[in-house]
Amino acid sequence: MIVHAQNLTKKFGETEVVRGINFHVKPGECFGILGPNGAGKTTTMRMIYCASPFTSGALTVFDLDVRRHPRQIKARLGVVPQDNNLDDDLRVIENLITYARYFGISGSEARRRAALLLDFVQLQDKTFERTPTLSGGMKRRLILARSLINHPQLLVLDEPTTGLDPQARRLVWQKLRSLKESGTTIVLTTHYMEDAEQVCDRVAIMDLGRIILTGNPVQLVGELVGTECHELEPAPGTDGMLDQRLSQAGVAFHKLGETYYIFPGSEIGGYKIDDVPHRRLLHRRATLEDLFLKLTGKELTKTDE
Amino acid sequence: MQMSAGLKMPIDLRPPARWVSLPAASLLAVRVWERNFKVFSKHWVGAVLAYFVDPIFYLVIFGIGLGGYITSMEGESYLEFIAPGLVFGTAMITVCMECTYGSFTRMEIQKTFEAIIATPLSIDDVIAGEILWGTSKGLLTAAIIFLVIALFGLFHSPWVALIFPLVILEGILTASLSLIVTSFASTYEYVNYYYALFIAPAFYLSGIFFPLERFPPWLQHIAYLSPMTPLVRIARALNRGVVAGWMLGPLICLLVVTAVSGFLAMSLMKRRLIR
Repeated sequence: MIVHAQNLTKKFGETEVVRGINFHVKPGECFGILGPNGAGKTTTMRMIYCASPFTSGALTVFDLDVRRHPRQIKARLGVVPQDNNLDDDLRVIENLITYARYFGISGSEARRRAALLLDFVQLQDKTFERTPTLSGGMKRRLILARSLINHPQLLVLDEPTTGLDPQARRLVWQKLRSLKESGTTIVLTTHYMEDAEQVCDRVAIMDLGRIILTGNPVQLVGELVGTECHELEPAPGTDGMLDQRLSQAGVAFHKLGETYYIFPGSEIGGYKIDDVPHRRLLHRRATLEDLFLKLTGKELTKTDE
Repeated sequence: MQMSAGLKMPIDLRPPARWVSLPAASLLAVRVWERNFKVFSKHWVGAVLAYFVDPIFYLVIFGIGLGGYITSMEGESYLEFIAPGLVFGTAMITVCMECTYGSFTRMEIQKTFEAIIATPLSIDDVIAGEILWGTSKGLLTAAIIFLVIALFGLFHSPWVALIFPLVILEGILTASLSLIVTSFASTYEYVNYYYALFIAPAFYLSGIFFPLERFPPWLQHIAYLSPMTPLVRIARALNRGVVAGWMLGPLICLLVVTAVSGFLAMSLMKRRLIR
């Protein structure tokens, strides 16, 4: 097992932010931890990369206790933290070379790897730029390159694409997929459900410090939500009627603001959904987003800071 | 839901480490020193120039300007009287600047420490590296002012070479004290209190500029709280060719305080940075 958490708990003072979670990460898989802000995702990630000691339970990485062998664990980890913490005093390539030195990689080898990694994240044109002048997307890519300098067996990525424009996001996901193909195990958190569905073999959905569900994202959605979702905003004044019909027909739905998210089937007690008087109606594939909504009654991504 | 039963899992009921646990820095601390050296080497010309100008100012203003009114100080010229102590004074200021403003910027503004501890380095290593770096900069400053004083022809005994190991001791101590302050600092403002309440008095009360015996007894007691006071006294004696047993007591005392401060700096930084 690459990561194994048992009844893992973390308290900050009296506040319990991670409440007895159990999960494991298998070699070579991409494991996503999803959930709204404040769910305990970042704290869980920080415990994995030995930056935050847990309060109770047990946590091993590479079958080593994080409390006893942090050095050995960290030597084999690559970390992309939630906040950019590049070394602003150093230029782009120096960031990688200096970081390599922390892993005891020799100077010439560090320079070789740094050049390769800058190519990998497509920052070769920025090699000698001053780090603070990079755009947000470039900084994120440089941090990804930095996390790979020690050829890690496990990558721990906390929101690797948050704040990036769509192209930069796509580039990062593409890089992560190719890393996974080359055998790197990945644990990540993200707000982007479509991306998580595509990249992750398994996901754990967290809310309020607990894992409420673990499994393959496509299967989970298929089993628990169905394949389709109808987003419907009823015509003004018809809410009450719609509520009644939906409950009578026993159709699963969630109401968030003005919008109804209706899950299985395209008929409500004999009526076609399209015939319901509406201002807006959208048929689309069901997603992890819908699953989370169904489980918690809350939206997953729109709690962004 | 995945079941995790049956998987190998070491059972460990030991309580998590507390911040009071004994610090355990390793040789990896040298990597932090390397990192700081790399950054320093980008603008070393300016820094070294400043280190040259500073002591020359002191020597000219105090030594020649003020010294013109003082014919003899304990049997030597005023310039000769203040020169050995100035080595410690300027080194202390340099170390303090580095391990307060410099370290605070790396820790709080640039999150450099946070980035480093995701590698095999621990916080103890980072803090040991910062102490090492601060001390090195102190040593560099000391070497420069030492050179200036030598060029002014103010050294009279080969024993003054012993000033260097003493500067290392002073450097480690001041770096540790400064990092303790930094571990509590929430803003740069906080550091200013340290300068006003500790560094400035430690500098001016240390007897660099005139003999401590001029002070009333109560102020002399306070002066001995400055780590610089015994160092200035020893340096002055060394320049007169004196190496004596009375030097041992204060040195042992400084060694103990240095060890305690170093450990405290690491523990307090752990308390601050590990959450």
